[in-house]
Amino acid sequence: MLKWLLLGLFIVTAQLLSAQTLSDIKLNALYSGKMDEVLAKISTETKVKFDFDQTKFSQIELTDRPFNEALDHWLTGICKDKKLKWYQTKDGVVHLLGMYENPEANTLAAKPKGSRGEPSRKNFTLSGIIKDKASGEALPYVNVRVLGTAIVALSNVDGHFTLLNVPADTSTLEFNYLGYHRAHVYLSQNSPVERLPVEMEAEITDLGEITVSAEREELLQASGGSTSLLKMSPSKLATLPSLGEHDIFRAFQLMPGISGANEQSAGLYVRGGTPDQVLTLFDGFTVYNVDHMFGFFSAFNSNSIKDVQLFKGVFDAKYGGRLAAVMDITGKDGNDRSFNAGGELSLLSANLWMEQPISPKLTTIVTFRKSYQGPLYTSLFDAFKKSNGTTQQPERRGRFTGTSVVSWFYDMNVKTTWKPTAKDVVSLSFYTGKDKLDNSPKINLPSGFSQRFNFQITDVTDWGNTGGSLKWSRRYNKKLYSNSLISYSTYFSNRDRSNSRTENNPDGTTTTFNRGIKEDNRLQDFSTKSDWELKLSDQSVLEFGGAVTYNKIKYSFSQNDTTILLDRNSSGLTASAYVQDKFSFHKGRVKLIPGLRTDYFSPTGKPYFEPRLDFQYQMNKRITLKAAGGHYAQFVKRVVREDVLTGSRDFWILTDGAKLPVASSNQFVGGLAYETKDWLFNAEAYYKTLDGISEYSVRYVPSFQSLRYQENFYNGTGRVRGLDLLLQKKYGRYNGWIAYTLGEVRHNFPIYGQNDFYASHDVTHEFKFVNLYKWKRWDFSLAFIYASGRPYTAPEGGYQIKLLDGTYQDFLNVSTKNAYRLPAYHHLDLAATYNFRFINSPASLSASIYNVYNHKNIWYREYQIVENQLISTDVNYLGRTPNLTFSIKLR
Amino acid sequence: MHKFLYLLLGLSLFSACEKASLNSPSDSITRPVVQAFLQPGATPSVKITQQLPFGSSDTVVHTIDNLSVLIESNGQQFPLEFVDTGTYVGNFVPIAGQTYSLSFTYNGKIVTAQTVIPSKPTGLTTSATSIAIPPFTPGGGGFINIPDPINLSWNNPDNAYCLVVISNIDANSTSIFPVTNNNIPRRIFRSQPEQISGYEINARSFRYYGHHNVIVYRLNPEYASLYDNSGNSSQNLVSPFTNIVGGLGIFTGVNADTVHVYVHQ
Repeated sequence: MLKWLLLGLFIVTAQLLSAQTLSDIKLNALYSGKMDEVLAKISTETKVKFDFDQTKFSQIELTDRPFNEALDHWLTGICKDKKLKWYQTKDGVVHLLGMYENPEANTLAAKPKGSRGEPSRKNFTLSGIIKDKASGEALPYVNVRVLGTAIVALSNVDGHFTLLNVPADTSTLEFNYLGYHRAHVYLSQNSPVERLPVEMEAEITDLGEITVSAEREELLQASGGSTSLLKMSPSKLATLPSLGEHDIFRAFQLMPGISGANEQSAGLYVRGGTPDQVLTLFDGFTVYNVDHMFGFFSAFNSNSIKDVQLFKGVFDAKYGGRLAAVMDITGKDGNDRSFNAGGELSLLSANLWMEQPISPKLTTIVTFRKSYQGPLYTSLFDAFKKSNGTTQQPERRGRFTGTSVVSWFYDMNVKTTWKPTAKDVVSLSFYTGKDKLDNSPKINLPSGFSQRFNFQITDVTDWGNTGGSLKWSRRYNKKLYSNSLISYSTYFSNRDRSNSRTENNPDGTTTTFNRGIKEDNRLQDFSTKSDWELKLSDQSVLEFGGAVTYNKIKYSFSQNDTTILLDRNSSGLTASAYVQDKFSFHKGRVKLIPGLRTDYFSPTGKPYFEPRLDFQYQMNKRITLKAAGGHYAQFVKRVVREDVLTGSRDFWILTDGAKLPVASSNQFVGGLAYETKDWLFNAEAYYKTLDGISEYSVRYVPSFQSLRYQENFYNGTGRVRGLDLLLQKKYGRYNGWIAYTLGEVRHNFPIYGQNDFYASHDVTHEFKFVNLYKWKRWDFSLAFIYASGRPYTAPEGGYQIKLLDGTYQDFLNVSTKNAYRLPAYHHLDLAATYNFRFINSPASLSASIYNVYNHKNIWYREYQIVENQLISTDVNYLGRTPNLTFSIKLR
Repeated sequence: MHKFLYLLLGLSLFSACEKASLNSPSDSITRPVVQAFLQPGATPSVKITQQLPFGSSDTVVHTIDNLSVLIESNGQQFPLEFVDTGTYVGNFVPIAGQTYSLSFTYNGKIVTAQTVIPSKPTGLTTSATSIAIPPFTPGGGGFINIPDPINLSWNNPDNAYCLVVISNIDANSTSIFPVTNNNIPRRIFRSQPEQISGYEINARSFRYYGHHNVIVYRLNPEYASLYDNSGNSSQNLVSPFTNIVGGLGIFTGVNADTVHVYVHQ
């Protein structure tokens, strides 16, 4: 802190001192040309030395005619106009730089000419903070390395890093972060050892003053972290083909091990797991439903996201409560330097964001997105509706009714970050999102009817999430860091398909009758957690912490006014503690991360021990071997109602250890990575066992004396195995990857017989080919997905029974569970993005075509008995779908 | 490079584990479909057909003829007589409270089922035996005065499932609503099978003037389960409920009481 104050004081003092001199120098001539030429001319005239970035200043045009204007006054005016700043150092040199550039960071980043001399400090501890150069946003999970050594560190969620045992203060540090240019810091005898300022420049093309760099970094990073960890740069999503929204979940589905053949679910099917087995954290709070618009998109607006990490299994002991994977999303803090705003308009939605620094210590960001019923929305909606039997109520479509379907989604993120001291960061993050489908017909009763009664038909489905976290992180010293939060998250899903009749009684009162079905699911999650990190040595980082989550889940399913078919109210407390140590030996070539997590779950009253281990061995500069394993437990489950065909076909329930057992999994992963500067080949094989997995149905259960709805939980076991292969070209104008997964998911549920069956989401072969190419102001992309068909259950025969009222009811006699497979799924997508300046602001226009060759991919099949024939109708996923997105931001 | 290949081989071995037996398509397509509602006061009729096989272009329901079908009750055996097209009739009248068992052999496999005849609903009363409904004139503002509904009630001490079926029984009756070629109103409407002891018949539910039978059935749970939709899409297909062992369909006893309602202008 003191250093910063001194530096600021120094600059101000320098300006005051120099002002005396510079104010005596008068300019009185026409200056026209590039800024570097103008400054050179003034330097010749006045003998004042200027220091600036030649490349950048050669792109700034300047025409000015001062009349006897003092040089300091003239410089201030020009700088204001060109968004620059200036200061004069003791040696009389006038330095000019960008308004938001940090001179100290610039000095550190400037490659010194010649030798840096003898080091004055050796084997010292260095800490620093890494920020985005343009916005001042702290950058999390940046890889930091002391060049020529095995000393590495990872910045924490607030951008802080600590390097222990830096050999000398003449070392060079290298910083790597996805979506950013690689940065270097050249230490010198004067470099600070605490809060070393590091700035990294986003890779996004900024046209105008800055030259477009030829270097291009990858969109997704599959190496350099824990085993099975993927990272993504949200800022680059715009270059991928999209269905209307630039979606982090859809982008991850292009990687191996994450199925891309589920258009109806934004949620991830990771290595044979289902979406509910993926823990999704946004700024620390759990988000339970990630679907917008029946799952075509995820509930997260990429404009609000700074960093995403996806653990495809074998995750750290810090995470728990899920079997398959963890997606940890960090929201943006907001620009701490100036107001900024932007927006996007696609054929589906409008998206706006705004960043406002209230003070240098207090920043805010707001993002808001809402769909509108434009052409793309309508075509996506129709694709869904066509397949959706429940949107039809033919018996109600009389002469008095008309349908006006209302359907929309929105989401909003607000985050405020306060940095009261150099050691503390407090942030408040809030998210809310909702989907609604209102298919209620409008009823226009003739006046004679409406005098006696009113009639209303409701057909509404809505669901959404709201969550928030208050997080406090503190860096006690270079070695100890903590991150604590309290959070709240709620998910609701309602279905109301009913009609109500209100009769006006002669005595002036009214009587209301309701018929139909109502479903209501509400989940609440109150959590608090605290994560601690202690750097014991440069070979050992101890991580420990704990969390308490209280879940309250309500599910009710009622018929008519009175009959409550199901009413489930459960609550439970999960208390967790974990400890793990990140060891590195043998000059950093061996990494070993043992960990243990313990959960106590109040409904069962039992503790659950979950050991974890991750091991990596760097054989040489190119080959790394990996092996990891662990035990995982899950206490809340999402179950899918088998007979509901609307968008929200799922609800969450709490396990009870009896009818609904706690799910558990053992996982093992082995792999190798072969990495060169430009290429990465990564292979990982995995094997998992699953226990206590559940399926669910609500149906009539006949018994002799009574017939009632019951909750039927079918519990079983599963086995998953597979091989993920990735070949990625990481850098260059052309980059991209080929991903292949060979997988098998077997389930065994006694209810379906003693044999194993392939799970409904089992995909044997999945192949993805993603190509990104940059040419001048254009970004082109091409993505191809092929996946073998998923298993399904088909009828082998059908029959009809004539009921007592003379009508016929159809019945389908079905095959054994998932005995058949759908045809293969594949599509090709293209996108082109043109980057330009629109009214002096960076803008882009993207055009994309989804499923270019219009392949009919089958979602599922429907069966009917028509005139004594059992016929099947294919319900398809999306056909060829074009989209256009315009995007703009102030700066 | 060799080292690299060995590692790859090692990885693929890692993922190769032992095979367990997997599900294969079943032979359930050969199971016969049985339909029979046993009711006191009527000789029983049992219909036995084949399933409609999936993928066949045949549009005929194939019946299963010339079987030896037997119904047993209380040690008494009642062989059924094959009439035609899969229909078998008995020469006895089922009695309420008795248990009846069906059995026959098809394709070398024994098919059986069992049901009990429920007792007749008692105490069936109706709030009105006639109802006046003004004719509906298109564009004329519809019904000006909606008549009060007809309330049915009966005893249901053991909370059994009941179904109300209302049917127009006149050969030539006048429709309340205008009849178009595309819209010929149904002569029968019904309640849901529910655990009820009363039912309100709304005037708006009637489609015809004339005589109507209002039948209140007491049901066994297996009948009510026929209304449970077992799904028709590959995402949610499950085997349909049946109480036929070795077959499909329904063999159930019902018992009913009837009142009459006259609908006039």
